[in-house]
Amino acid sequence: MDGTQKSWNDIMSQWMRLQETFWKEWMTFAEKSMESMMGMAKMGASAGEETAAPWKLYQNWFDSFQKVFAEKEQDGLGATVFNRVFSASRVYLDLLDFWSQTLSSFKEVSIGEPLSVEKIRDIRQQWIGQYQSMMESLWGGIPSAELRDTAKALSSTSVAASDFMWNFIEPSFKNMAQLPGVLEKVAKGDRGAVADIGGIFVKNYEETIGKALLAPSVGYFKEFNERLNNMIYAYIQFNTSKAAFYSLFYATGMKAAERVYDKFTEFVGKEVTPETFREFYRIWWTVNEEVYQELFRSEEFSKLTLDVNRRGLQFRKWIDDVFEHILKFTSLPSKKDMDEIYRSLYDLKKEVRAQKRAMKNVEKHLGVTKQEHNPSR
Amino acid sequence: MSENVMETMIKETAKVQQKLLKGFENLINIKDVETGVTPKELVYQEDKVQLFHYDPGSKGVCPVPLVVVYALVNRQYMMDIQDDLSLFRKLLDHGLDLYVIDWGYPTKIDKYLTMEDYILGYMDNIVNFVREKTGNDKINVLGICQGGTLSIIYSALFPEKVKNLVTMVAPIDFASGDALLNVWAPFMDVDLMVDVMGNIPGELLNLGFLWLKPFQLIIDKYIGLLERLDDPIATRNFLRMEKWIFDSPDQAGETFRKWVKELFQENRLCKGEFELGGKRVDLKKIAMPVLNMFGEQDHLVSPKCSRPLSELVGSKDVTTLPYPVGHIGMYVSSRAQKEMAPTVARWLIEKSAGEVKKSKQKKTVSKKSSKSKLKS
Repeated sequence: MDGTQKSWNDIMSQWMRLQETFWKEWMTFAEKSMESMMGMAKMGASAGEETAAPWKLYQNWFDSFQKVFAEKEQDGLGATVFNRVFSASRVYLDLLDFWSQTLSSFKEVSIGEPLSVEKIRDIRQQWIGQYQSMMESLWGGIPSAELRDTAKALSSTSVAASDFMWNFIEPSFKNMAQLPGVLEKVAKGDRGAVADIGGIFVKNYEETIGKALLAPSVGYFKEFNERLNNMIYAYIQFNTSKAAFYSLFYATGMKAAERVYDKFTEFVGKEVTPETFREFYRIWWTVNEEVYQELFRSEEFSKLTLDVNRRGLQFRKWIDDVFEHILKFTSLPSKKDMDEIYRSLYDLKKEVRAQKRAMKNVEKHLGVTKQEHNPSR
Repeated sequence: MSENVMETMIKETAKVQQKLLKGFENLINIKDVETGVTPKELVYQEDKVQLFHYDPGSKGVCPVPLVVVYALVNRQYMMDIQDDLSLFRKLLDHGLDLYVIDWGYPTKIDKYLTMEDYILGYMDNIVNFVREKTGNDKINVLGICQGGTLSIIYSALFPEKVKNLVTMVAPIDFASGDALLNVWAPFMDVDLMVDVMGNIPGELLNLGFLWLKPFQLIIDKYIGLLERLDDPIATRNFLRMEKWIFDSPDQAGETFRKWVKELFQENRLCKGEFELGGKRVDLKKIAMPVLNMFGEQDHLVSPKCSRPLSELVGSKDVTTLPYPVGHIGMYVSSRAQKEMAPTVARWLIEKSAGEVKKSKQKKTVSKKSSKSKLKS
């Protein structure tokens, strides 16, 4: 075992011990909460606030575990798969939390008393609100890991450039007077407003820094400046397009929420066991799969995907263009140079192969036997 | 919150945490798992493409060798993932002489490789090599998924070299397919993708495959694993599948362009308008016996996409076999092991009967000498 591995194992065994301690504390805390809650239940008081405490503690454990895990540069198949299991577990536990909280909201329904229309509406709204925040653990308030990976795979070399770009576009954000209103809408659950942010940003950008950037450049750096401006513009277009794309995801999530809600009411009044939760989990993911399949099959989704991909690729094209220009002043080969080399090698190899084949045919024709088991080489 | 809700929540959360810790212990130090378990020998190499000959043991009964052609996005160990899930081993046990193509990992230098290079170049060279090595005029071909389409095109262009053709989950009628890939393909700006990216990253294609069933493939699959994390054998088996699924080579840009544009978007092969190397690919020239197998629950290549092969080829001897499995199930399900391998083997042996080699089989190139020759 090398030194690095040993030190990592030491850290992990310490971490495991810490978990054991944490676990005991958490159980004790949870037991106490239950005791106090049971007392409250007898008095008819709501225990929602108190029960959130052990859960928060657990969330902290989850966060710290993830942090420790992330600090270690992991490699290998096991670590990669563990990461995937860990992410899936987080969604599973968020769903469990949501489920238990919702069952509490339905407490009044389960005792069989008739509910007013207003009360039903309140419960439904509360349900949708909780569901929305739970779904953010899946798709994320910001793009989920998968979506981020897609964007990364699309833009590839643009990742580092994105940070660089931020310095350029930050002033546009600072002057966005309309932003607070839109953010308020988003906070209230209007996911369509996410798309508005992009639109406002483009407008604001064009009125501020965009004006300066798109103004015709002069002097020695004219060409370079214009390329840079095009790159910035492509980046903004890409982000606007992504906002519209994500808003479609949120809207679909809400559609799924309605369907899951209808199914959820079947659980009200039933005995609460891990099995009933697992059945709810199964319904949750299958209903979501079904609703997202509908989205993926829609023309709207295909068009938006095409748009986001195109803009991502255009952005990368401009990045390549800027680098191409920068590399002119160095002794390093550019993408264009390398492409030329690849093309020449490809053509050369093809020609050699054709000649070898022709030679082989001649040999065959002349009756020359050659002990060669790998004809093309 | 009532006490039984709280209790349930605690129990379930505790269970998940314990399983996660167990999983952490079990998984974190596993760097890799063994795949490709059946003994094999590298017998041919050209650029990054390799051909493996699987050790037939003493059971060889089929006089015609079988060349297996995979999708360019898959690795050759796909059907040989572990001892009890090896379709290759089953085929060998039933007496087939097996050669398998590994397309390798194209890099930037390979971005100009075309479908002509793959089919008229690599594939034809490999077929000629096997014909020469075994003394057979004709060989059997088994094409899987995209490899099935490549095999169909090859068989139409070189019918004189193919004795029997077996296709497995192979897309042929791209316009009839109702799978998500068929829905998305018309909206792909493939020219821009290839012009900007060069090669198409396997990682990107994998993300596309995950999005076909995001909740099942990103969440439920791993929650299912959580239940089995304390079982080291089940965990290792899962890791093998996981390794294979995510081990996807990049796609040579020019090949990808033609694949998406002319097949997915324009459905040219089916219409009889597809050309390769300046030659029209006429499916009616496929006159040899054909065995066409597909999964009835396939979400990648829908049955509607594979089934029409029987009507498109010129052969009068076409067997169509749907199986009640999905795309992956065709390769690794227990049903595949129990039913598919014997069916393929029996069919090939029956259709290859009476085949006489034109000359005595040449001596097999030893691994050492083969390698040294390849390096030279």
